[in-house]
Amino acid sequence: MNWRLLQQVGMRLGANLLTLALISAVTFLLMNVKAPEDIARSVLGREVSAPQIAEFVARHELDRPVLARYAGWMADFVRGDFGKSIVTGRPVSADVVTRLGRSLLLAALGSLVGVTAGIAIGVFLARRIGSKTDFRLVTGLLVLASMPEFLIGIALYLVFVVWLGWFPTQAGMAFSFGDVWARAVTFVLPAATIALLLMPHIARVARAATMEAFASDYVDAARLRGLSERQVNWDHAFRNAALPLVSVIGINLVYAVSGVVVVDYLFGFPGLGALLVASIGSGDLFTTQAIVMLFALVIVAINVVVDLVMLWLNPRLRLAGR
Amino acid sequence: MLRDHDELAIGGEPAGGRLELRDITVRHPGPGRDGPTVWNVTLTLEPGRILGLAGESGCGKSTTAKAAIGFRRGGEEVSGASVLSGLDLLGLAPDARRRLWGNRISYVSQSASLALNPSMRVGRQLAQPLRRHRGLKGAALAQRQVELFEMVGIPNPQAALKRYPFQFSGGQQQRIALAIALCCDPEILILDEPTTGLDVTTQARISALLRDIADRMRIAVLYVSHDLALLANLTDRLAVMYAGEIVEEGPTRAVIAAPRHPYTKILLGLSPRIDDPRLVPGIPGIPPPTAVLDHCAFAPRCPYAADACHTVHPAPAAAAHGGVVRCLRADELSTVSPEPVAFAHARDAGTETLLIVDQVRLHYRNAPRPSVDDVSFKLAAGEWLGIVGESGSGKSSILKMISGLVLPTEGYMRFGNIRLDSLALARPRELCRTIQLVFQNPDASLNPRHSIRQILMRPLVLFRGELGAREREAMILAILDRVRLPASVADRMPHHLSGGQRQRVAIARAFLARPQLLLCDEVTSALDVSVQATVLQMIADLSAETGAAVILVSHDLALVRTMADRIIVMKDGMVVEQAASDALFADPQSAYTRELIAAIPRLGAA
Repeated sequence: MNWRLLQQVGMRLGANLLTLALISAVTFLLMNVKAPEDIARSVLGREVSAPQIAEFVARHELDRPVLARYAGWMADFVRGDFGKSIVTGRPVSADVVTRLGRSLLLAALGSLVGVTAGIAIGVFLARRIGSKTDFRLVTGLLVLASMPEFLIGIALYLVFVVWLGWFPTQAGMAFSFGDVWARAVTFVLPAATIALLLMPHIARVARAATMEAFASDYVDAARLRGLSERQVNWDHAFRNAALPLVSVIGINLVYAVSGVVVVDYLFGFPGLGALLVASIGSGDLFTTQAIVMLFALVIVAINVVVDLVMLWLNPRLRLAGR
Repeated sequence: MLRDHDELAIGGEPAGGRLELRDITVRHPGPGRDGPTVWNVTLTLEPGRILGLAGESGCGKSTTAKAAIGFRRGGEEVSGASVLSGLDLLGLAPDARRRLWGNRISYVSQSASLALNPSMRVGRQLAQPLRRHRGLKGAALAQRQVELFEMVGIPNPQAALKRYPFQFSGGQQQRIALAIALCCDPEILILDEPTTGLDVTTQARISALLRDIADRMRIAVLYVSHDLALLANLTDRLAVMYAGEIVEEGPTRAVIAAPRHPYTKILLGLSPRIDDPRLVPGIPGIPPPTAVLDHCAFAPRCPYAADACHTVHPAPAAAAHGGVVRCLRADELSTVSPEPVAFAHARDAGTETLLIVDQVRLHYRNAPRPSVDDVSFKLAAGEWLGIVGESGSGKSSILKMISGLVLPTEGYMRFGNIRLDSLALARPRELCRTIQLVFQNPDASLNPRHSIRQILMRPLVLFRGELGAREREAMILAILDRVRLPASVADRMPHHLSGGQRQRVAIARAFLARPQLLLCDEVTSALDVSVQATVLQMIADLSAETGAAVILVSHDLALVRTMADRIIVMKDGMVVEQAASDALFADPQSAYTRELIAAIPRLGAA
């Protein structure tokens, strides 16, 4: 660790905190610039009396100025208090936290499978550049990479649920907490969708990066120093191939987290995405805000980790200007 | 600087290892490549001696060097033998070869910046072969590392070991690569263009280091280079390669003094000399891509070819200089040599001043020092001005400011009676037309998606709008003819052409604008000498016809000496010396100029 490095890390963290603050402000303002009466109506419905609205507004302190409410909400949020749902009256955190856990687990499982498979396929292809296998698989990856997540999800649903009947239909996938096996089953198709979403991008970059590293002069040079194949591969080829790969993996993890929203909806997975869609529909301000902020936090955290890994892997970034 | 080692031979068999290449042939089977890339190369590397392998790009010299140590890429077929004390490297099992590589045989490739792993500390890169081949660990390893860095002249070795390759200069990177190559006291050292791309002074220092190491450690060295002058000064024996074959081989001094093969003769005449500002005209045509086995490969380009040369493939024969030569007419031609000519450009130019550069400074933001600092000069119409200096001296930045690619931070520039104070985009079109720039690398300066016709059409459409379609076409064909390219080239894409042909297209494009000032930025650095002379001749002819003045920026002092009327020597952004070419060489005023001139390898100075 040196001063310059600390400075760089500090600057990146600062930039990310600023991003979070901006996201929170924009989200809050988008949800709250409406008149308090309109917010009340969107929750209570059209057929409510004036006193009911007044009572609702007073109970949730919607009559305070927007900025004051933002400051109050932000202060609570930082302390881990996400407020009470204006729809159900329950604490937002009760619903959000369990679902966050499930969604993160889903995204992590999908990413793990997608990234591992992507790297494996990419490295496999990099050693067979120009072969028929290479051509076919690269074409396949390109097709897969150009498919949006809902298409992949629907295709999996059609094949494994409707056609093969291996998994229960959406209606039958009610989340039962008692049965570990049933719980695991509900993860399979959503996680597979996320894995298939990431895999082609990772595989293509892994293929190109590995190919480039193996064609490099420094790999030839390492071989000509008589080093073992293991040293040539790991110390010289893969280490350098990892550089472009890490930044692409970072982008794709973000992609996986945002993919959770669509996947929840398609498979009826009881995750954060499903709750987000529901809370926007019911006008549930605090729940929506909390979920958006949590997504933002996760994405920022991924970026910070990727930045740190890049700094660790790439001495040029770490020692720039020295 | 040449050494005579004959006394060693009398003292009996030298101690170090000897590498014998016997009939090395390399093929790259594939469409359009019928012949072998390398054909029957037989050479011997003796301990303590440096063997030079010269030739132009694509002649197979690097392929030979790699094949000699048993390294082959996928799809390569290597036959013959490469014998190191009884072991045939080509016949060994891969594992056995790996125990020799980096240990008894080391290889250093052209660009150390590419051959060193960018994300590993240099100390670890040096430690890896030491651990593997010598089993060194701990303090012994650390001590050996420091010892090696001291030997190759890396200052402050302890700290240097902990740094990454990009934290060193190009010359130091090559020294580090050399330290890694020498770490296990190899018997054989293969150097593939190890100093190409480095500044002359750096090149001279590394060459001296190599000579010293080869002598002291009794290493047998193969030194591959395109630079004959460099090899002439450094090597004990010299082999010249053309189209995959050794065309001449012998004791360096004798080969340089009395070359037997026409190709060697012309190649020697093509290298610019600082003591004789004349060049042999370039060799017409391009070399065949593979070895030619049914006639002499050089015959189609050879000025001395007889009928038999086109039908008989010459065998290597003993030559008077004690080596071998592969030429049917070697004996008849022993006294013939090509006559160098002085370049005919508009030497007696008018006295009218075309360009004034006055106290110009260029300081890029965040740069520690200005790239160009207080530079002033004048250029007369039709004059040739050379600007020389090492990389980073600011010589190219001057061209960028004149052409309007960057604005000077301070200072005044005037072209004719127009003040140059705006970027090219903001300049009047007529001004852009009269100042044309040709870049070092035609691969990058020609649009790869445009045909040659489209490329040449650009200046005509931009600057000569008055011309009709038929006139434009006629002008394109005329200029192609002037740069000696066939008309059929117009429909081809840049990647179909060789590097030299592409550079001629770039020159044709510049002259179609009818410039009064042509700025040439290292225009021949990426080209082989046989092409270089042709390209320079073309610029000289066209500028003489049109009366254009030329500013020639180059790192090659000998080249600038050959071409320019006046020379500016630059260092660290400042002008060190400014004088007429002859005067500069006859009586250099500054220590730096003297150092530069001294660093240039000389042909025939022995």
